[in-house]
Amino acid sequence: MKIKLLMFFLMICFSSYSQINSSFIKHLVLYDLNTEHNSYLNSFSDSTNIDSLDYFKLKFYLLHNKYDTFLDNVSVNPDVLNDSSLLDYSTGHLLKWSISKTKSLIKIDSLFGMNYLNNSLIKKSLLLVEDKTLSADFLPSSLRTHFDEFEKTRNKKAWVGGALATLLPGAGKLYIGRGKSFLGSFMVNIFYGATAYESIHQFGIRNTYSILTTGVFSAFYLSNIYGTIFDLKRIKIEKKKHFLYEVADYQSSGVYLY
Amino acid sequence: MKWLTTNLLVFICINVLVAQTKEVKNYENSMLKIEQKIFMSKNDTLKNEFYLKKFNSSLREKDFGRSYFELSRIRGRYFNDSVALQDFYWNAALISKLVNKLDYAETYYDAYIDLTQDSSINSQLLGLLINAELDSSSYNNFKKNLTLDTALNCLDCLSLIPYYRLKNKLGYIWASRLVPGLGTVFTGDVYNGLGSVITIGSASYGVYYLFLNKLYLSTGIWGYLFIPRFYFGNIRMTKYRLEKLEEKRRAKLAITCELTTKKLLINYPIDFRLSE
Repeated sequence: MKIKLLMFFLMICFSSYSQINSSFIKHLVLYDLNTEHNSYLNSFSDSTNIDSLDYFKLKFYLLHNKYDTFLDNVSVNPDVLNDSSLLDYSTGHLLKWSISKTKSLIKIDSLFGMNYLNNSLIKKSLLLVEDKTLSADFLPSSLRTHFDEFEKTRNKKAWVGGALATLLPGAGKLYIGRGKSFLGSFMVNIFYGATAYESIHQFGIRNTYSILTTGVFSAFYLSNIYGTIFDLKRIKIEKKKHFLYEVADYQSSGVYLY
Repeated sequence: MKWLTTNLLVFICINVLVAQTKEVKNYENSMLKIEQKIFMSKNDTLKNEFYLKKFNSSLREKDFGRSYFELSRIRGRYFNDSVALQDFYWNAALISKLVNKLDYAETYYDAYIDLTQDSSINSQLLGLLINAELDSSSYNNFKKNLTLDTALNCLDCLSLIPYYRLKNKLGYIWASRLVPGLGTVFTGDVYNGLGSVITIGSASYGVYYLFLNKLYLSTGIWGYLFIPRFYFGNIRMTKYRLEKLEEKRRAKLAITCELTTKKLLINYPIDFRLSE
């Protein structure tokens, strides 16, 4: 009985000091054995005294793009916040997924970590897209082109686009950089304007057909103005996302999770 | 007494649930343990044995997606036992067919035949099922041998499905060209067909009415903007509906064929060969 008890305690001690084999995890990742990877991490119970278990679990979440779970658990694990290459990898991938979640990670790092991300390219780029007064000199030349493209759109004014579209249908599209849409918008407005003019000229403004053609023309004319303003907003967001995506790509290139 | 029965029922239910979870966990744990052995072993033959063990375990658990994945890690040249190799080729051909990787299924099946020269009905039936969607000449060769048993004639549907085409498609399109919407009505889509008739009819009448009222600019513009779009749009819709109709009939044929094949497989079952 005593021997059995001794064996039992020895087994408990042995299991609590078992360590995670990182090369085995690399092997599982290399062969894309996701189920085994998950089973392996779960084979160590949470009560087991292994410092790196949470660290490997967080890496697993990152590998499988479970960013929400990663963010929920990252603040309680200082190991991750001390690993600069892992932080580079995670911010790079998070930024491609969500801007706000990336900001959350940067905040977590400043509160619980070593504030490594404070001087990172991603944080500077996030500030740069929000503040026009900041200089973009820190950007490498490959990202500079994307930023210039974004800045060109950022400086465009919605009211200028709207005014141009009011003066000459299609001109607003030309201003916002949608040159191909100019001819379409212009011709459609000319066509509907001509039918409205002809009907008013022939039957007068109170005629049903005149009201219909004028109504159609007005709808197209106004939607061209609204479309220009709305499109500019969309292009600005698109260019911003594109620039940040390129930053994320630059940041995470050559950085591997395992 | 009532209290005791309720508690007993709850106890049984919990135990059944726990047993099911444990079963899944045991399978996952055994797969993990084999993978750890693979990682530790330095010998390719030994590694291959463990790959095969994982492959067979996943087949036993009917985890076919995983079986196909494990299959790609096994190499025939590391087998020492010819019976195990035969069984492996058979299982590999069958699993590749089940996950619809027909090219692999054919390769493994050919390797199996080269090794065993098996001419049993089950083996020929597997060859037929693999080749039905792959190679019509091989399929016909298999069929020649298998027509000895008339029950197998029903498998002809397998070769028909990929080549099924709706007859007289051009007729539907010409009907839409002559009377807009008619082709769509013929495909069975009556509402859209009638919609085309009404839209094109009223647009044409409207343009004609503008012309009568000497609104020549409007006639040209409305005519240019509406009539070609509606007319050619109606033809495009007929073509789209035809494609959908063809897909629908092919799916119906496939379901009927699947049922026939299932009935046949009850009489001539093709099972995995798991000798371990």
